[in-house]
Amino acid sequence: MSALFDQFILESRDLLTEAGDSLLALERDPADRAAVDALFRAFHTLKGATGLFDLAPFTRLVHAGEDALAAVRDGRRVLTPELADRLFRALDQSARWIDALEAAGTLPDDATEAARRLGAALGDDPGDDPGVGPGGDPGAGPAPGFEWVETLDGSRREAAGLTGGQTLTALAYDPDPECFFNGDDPLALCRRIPDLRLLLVEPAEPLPPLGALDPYRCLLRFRALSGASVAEVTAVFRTVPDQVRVAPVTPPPPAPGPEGAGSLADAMLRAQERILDLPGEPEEREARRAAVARSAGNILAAQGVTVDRAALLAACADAGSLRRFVETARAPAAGGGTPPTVGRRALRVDPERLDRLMTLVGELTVAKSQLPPLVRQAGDDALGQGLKAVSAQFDALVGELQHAALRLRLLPLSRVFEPLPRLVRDTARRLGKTVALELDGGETEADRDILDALGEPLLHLVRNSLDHGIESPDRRAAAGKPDSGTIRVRAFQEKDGVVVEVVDDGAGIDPAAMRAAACRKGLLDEAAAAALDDGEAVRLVFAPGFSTAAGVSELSGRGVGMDAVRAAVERAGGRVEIASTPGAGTRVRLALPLTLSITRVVVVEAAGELFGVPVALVEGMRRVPRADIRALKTAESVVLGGRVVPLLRLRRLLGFPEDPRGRAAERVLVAGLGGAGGTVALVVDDVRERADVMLRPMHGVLRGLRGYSGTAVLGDGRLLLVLDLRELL
Amino acid sequence: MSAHPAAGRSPRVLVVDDAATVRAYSRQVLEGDGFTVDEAVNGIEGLERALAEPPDLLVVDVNMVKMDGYTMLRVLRRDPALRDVPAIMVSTEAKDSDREQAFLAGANWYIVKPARPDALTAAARLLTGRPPAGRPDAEGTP
Repeated sequence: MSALFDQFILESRDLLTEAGDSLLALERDPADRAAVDALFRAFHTLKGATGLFDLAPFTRLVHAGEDALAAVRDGRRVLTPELADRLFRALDQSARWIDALEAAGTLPDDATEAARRLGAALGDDPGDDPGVGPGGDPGAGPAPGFEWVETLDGSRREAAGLTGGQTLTALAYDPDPECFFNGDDPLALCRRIPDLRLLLVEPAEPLPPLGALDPYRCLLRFRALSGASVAEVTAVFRTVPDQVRVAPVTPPPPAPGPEGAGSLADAMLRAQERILDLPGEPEEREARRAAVARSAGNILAAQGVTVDRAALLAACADAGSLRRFVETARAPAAGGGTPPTVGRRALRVDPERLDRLMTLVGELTVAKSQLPPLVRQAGDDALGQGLKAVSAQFDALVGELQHAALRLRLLPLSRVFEPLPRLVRDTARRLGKTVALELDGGETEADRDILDALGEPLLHLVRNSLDHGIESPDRRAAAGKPDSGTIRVRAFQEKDGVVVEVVDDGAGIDPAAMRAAACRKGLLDEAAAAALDDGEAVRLVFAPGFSTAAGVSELSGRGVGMDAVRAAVERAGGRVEIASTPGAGTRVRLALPLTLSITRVVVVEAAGELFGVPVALVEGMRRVPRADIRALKTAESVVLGGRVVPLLRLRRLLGFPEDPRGRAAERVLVAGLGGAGGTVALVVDDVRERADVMLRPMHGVLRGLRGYSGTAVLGDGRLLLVLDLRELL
Repeated sequence: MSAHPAAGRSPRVLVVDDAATVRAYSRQVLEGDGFTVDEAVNGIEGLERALAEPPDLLVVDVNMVKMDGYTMLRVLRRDPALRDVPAIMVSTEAKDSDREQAFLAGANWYIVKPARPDALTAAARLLTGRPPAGRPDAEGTP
């Protein structure tokens, strides 16, 4: 491939990214002249570049975009959300073509058709959707809204009597939820479709729990294929023209059978895409996403395509983005050794080699800390002096080495910010809300493990803000707020960690409603709920079991998956905090360590054994006089800082015999568990030093043990079990 | 989250089926292809085994007397350590609705019984990140 062509690929990618950013900016602020100019220029430059290589369909598509943008720039046309959608589609298509050009050197076979369809849509005045409605051309591939035709599986296609290549009429009927009151009977209408080949009835959105289901609302949508003409099908639905879309479609040839691992892999990847779009409870869908991400990653790995697992997980937001991710990931491999273009200026190192290096550095740190005791033993003679000097030097060097190695793995947080603008734009549009996203501090760096751990919770938080935080424009107007909501995501370095904040100016969380919900859900009794201050009540969103509580979203709360967010952040050794002002908004703050490899623990002793408690959880250490401990049956408690805190004995928790000493004052570690866990006072035999340790997960049979997050070796070689307090209690 | 099966170790598959013949068959097929196989005779035992040692892949039968495959997967997907373990569901039913049920319950792939040996191993290899048989250097996409 010529250097010129390489240059074209490189430049086009830059232009497409720039165009995407400008389009987002322009949508936020239609008066942004700079954005419209940049966007126009990107399309214009692409038109010129594609013209050099005889890529007629590509040129045609970007030309159509350029024309549409010229009209916007000159005030002849308004950038409606529909037009923005179409421009985004044109950009997505262009990006796929660039991938295909890089991989195969030519445009795919359907390029002419796609260019015609997308180009025509850009030329249209905004209004009805492109290629949809009577008059769309057969053979145009799936029109927007009809992608499901493409994903029909073999037996369904067979049932519809399709062998591929045959043109049918597809119908998408999304009945108005209130349609029963208009006298409509959606199912009866569908039954009247002539030559009905296939009828799919699906929930239009995940169904609410049975108790909240309103039987007078139609929550279903209908998808059908018919052998009759578009006109015949349209005629059946003449009373509800606003709720149906009818278009001729040519279903794709049947999916490849199980022969050949390539096609099996394709079929399995498609199944993963479908799984993402299945309805379900938020937690259920979250778990499916995790399993889909791991499965898809493994399928790609089996084919020799390595991908960034965090980016893959982020891409598992929906079927479309997973498909795009897979296409992008595979494109370089298909090109036969074309080097990937990501991280062009960066040196690419296999993460496993970095991990190995980190492990070695960690072990070196531990080995190093065995020196000082030897130095002390050596005394003050020449040998001792020499040892002391070497030890100090060693100390400094290992510290620097550790720092340098750590930095190798640092990546800017902008990587996890990347999917956010599009997520906000698409979700806000779907929900009918206006939301501005402000990103700040993307240059802040953190370890890639932390980035991996952060990606999912961050998506979750932003989605939550969109869904439950930011109100609809009319509710905002009624509250005297600007129509457009704002979500700010801000990252910065703090002490030895990173902090990411998600702040919205939405409805906030009502503490009273949270208390009521917690009682209803049986998490707290009335008295306990009433005893919570407002901050504590708001923090209930993190309590396990609260997030799935029915009706949380009615409270304009944000229960969905907050428990999962907390769990993910805490697994990474971090903390989550939330503060909310009803009516004014919510701030969620994630504080994470810079790296996962090294954990700072407080060493405690019980029954002669050493245990570690992550410093992140420790709120303080006390001596509590025996007389201050109140016993109620078998439960003990103590008053700390004016609050009653449950008191637990580590010996009992771990099944050791009671401390025979009968001390006058107990050594107590005060630990904050977050969420419903609250604060506990943990009685230990002794509190020792703080130490930085390399936490190793439990292996083999030890993995079954509950209550421990791993083992670590102390500087002097003693073994330490690191406690997972939340699991233990 | 251990996304990659540890290098140099053969991926561990947990086969959950109440039919001894099917278990023996699956074991033979999978071990023959270099997998390590663990067995459980119903959903409850499957959960216990999986919790004790999270496998790299689950192969779960639908119809079992004590806790069926759907329920087992649903419960398992709630456990932080197990929620992302790829799962294949095996069933005698070939209907789309059954396939859908399996995916809803948390499966990542669906195989109709009796599973052809190569269908089982090919899917197991892909879901555990091993290159297809006879192709040590996995090729790119078609």
